[in-house]
Amino acid sequence: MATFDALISDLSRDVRRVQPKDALQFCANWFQSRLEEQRTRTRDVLVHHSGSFGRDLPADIYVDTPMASPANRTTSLSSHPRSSIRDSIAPGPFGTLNVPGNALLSDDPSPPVFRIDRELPPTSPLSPSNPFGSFENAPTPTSTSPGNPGDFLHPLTSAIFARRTSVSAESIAVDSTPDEPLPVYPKTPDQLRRIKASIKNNFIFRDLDEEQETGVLNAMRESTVPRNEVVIRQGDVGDFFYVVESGLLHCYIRPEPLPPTWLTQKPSSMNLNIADMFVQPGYHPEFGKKVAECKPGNSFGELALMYGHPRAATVLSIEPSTLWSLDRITFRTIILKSAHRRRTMYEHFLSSVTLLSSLDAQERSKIADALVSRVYQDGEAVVRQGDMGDTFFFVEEGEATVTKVQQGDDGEMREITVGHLKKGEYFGELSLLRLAPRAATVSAVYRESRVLPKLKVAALDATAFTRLLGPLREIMERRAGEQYGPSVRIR
Amino acid sequence: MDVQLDAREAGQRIPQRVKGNYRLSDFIIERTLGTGSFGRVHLVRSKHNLRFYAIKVLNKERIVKMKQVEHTNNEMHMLELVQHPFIINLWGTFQDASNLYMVMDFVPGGELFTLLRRSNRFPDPVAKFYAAEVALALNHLHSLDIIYRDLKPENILLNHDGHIKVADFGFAKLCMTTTWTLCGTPDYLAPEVIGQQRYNKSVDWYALGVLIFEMLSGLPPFHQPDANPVQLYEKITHGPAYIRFPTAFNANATDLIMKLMESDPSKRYGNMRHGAGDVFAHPWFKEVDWDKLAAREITAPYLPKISGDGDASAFDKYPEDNATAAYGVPVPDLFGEEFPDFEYTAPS
Repeated sequence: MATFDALISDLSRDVRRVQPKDALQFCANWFQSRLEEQRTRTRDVLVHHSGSFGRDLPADIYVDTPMASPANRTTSLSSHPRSSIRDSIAPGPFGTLNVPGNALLSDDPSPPVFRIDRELPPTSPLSPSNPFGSFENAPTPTSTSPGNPGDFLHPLTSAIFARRTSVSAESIAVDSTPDEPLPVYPKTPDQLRRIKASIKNNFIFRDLDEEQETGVLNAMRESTVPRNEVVIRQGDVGDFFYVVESGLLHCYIRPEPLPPTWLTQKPSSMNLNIADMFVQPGYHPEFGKKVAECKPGNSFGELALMYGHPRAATVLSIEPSTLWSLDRITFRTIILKSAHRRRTMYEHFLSSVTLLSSLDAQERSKIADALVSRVYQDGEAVVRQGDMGDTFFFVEEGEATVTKVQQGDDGEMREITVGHLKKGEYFGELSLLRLAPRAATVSAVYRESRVLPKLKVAALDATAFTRLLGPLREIMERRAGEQYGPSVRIR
Repeated sequence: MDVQLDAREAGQRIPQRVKGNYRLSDFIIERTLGTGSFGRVHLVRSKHNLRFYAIKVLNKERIVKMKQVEHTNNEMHMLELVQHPFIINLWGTFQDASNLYMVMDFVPGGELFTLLRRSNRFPDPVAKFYAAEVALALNHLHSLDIIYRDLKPENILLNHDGHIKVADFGFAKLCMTTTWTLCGTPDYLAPEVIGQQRYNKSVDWYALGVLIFEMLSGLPPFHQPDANPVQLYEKITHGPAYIRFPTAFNANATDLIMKLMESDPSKRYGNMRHGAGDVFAHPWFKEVDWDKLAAREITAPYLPKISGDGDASAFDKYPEDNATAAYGVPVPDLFGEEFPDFEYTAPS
């Protein structure tokens, strides 16, 4: 009975949505397409349970599968059903898509109409043939578990029939010089802490580095709104993101699509609706249903930081409120310029390495993608003398000491400092060529002042290098060949 | 004029493109094939050779207002660079006081999107066929250092022979190393694009992973029933490990999708040492004869029923809204200099 109830409720949902003119025909088509889907599934399951079907089958396969004639059943079990007409057409190795309008299916009774008709469910309701069944060289499904019937039966929402629109941000000149000063609006440490807390779980801010985060926090601007003011309006193209510092705002969503003649067409129901709105709490006569409240610490409108897009809701101040706002261009300028500076620094580092001089700009760019930043505490070792290493490092920020343990004249082993590494200097590059023990220990300096930056290195391991460009030795040999004489380029 | 358009016949496979001087009065506008943010695409017929073409009309003022001048100029330049059997051909461009016009092939089979939604989902071999042709098109673009950035079933058209034509180069551009502008279609955006980071051509391979999933399941992998992009982006940034794969998916297909949708571009298929070779050599594509496929010697799984030249029944009907009445009307031309490579060809 549960299956029956579920079916009927799905059907009524779809009928309500589609509102077919010919309800009986719609229901007939609907059941037909559901039946086809279920048959396909049954067949798929039976195919890789061949020999043992009936024993291993989940119970739901039996349920609401109508009785098929035994002969029929065996054919669909032993092989995929083939249409004799299609056999004569010599299909390609990718089979034939069994969908109305496919000219390869000459037995297809339907007219070549491809439009998505609101009256029709998406599977082929006009065709009695199985919509997915027959294609010639279907590989045996490799999954060992029988298909979960729920897997493909996603509800047919009308939204999936709409073409998806592309989105785009403004392009920002990341390498423009000189840098225009970024906006800085001073804030108290308390305010900074609160803003930080409200944005920390937002995916847009999650991956920001320290410099970017500081820039973003500085650029947030205070604005106050009186009571009953629309901060953002549903449908308007948004440019700002907001964090609530104090006050209270409500978010409303108007049902969509709103019939344009809504107020004039049905006077009787209008009266009813208006009455409803006034008695229903949280229903705004213009902006629709209340969906959320924004209190201090909440934020809204983050999508506007990615691209200009119609707002999904209206936000109205219920009390006088203070907000922090940030616009997209400022946000993206901060993020992109900082990321671009860092990126340029990486590429510059890489171009300074003699060992990598045979790489071209495109190859260096790929390698720069694979650099990983790591920060070290004072005294912490990046590499240790004697350890096997396959990673190559740059100093990105801070300083490092190079030490070696050596036997002194008196026969004692002691650690002596042999060098100092500053920003832009690198070590361990030979490990890109071969795995070898580290000749020295490199560790973060003990900083004289907390103000100085901690040691930050950018690391590149040989595995990543080889994955992206192949073994460095081969590249060097190839480039040497190109330089010193004609030779066949080895791919 | 005739001679130029007839070049299409001489080189069926790779059209010998002669840059033509076209103007609106060379064509009879038949109907609308699609609409977009800046204008619409019309089915048109040449008055000279009576053949059918598609003309994309873009309103200059709207392009400028939506800050897409650079993208639009890129679109034209990239299409001019490319000639490939699986990519739409641009015959020429021109402008008048208010619009830009791009004369392209009419691709009569309609959008892959329409076919996919009608079919609900594709059987594994059918999805494989389209994925393989798309992979060849992407590889060709990348070999010219062109990044495409808007792969989705809506932008893949089906030719009369059932083979694909990638269309809509609105976001395509030259990209040797990395680029930064956030653009694409929400369901198909790679995590590094959402994360406001630099990205490279590998975002197209990521999108191919999304496309394969959508063809096999009927819905994109992080589909949000309520179309809430914020939740969608949360899921995309969490990575492919959170995708729920239907159990009936072919294991090789699942594996390839995971490798294309890899969140770390330095580990993503298509972006490593062997480039697209990793994708072509993947076990899911085992039975694909890539040379034959590229030569269109493989029968497509779906052949559109076309009743004759200019049959556009595969395309949805759009309200015409008398849009063509505004074409070629003399008005003050405010933005012409933004688009220097679109010629003014109409007699003034």
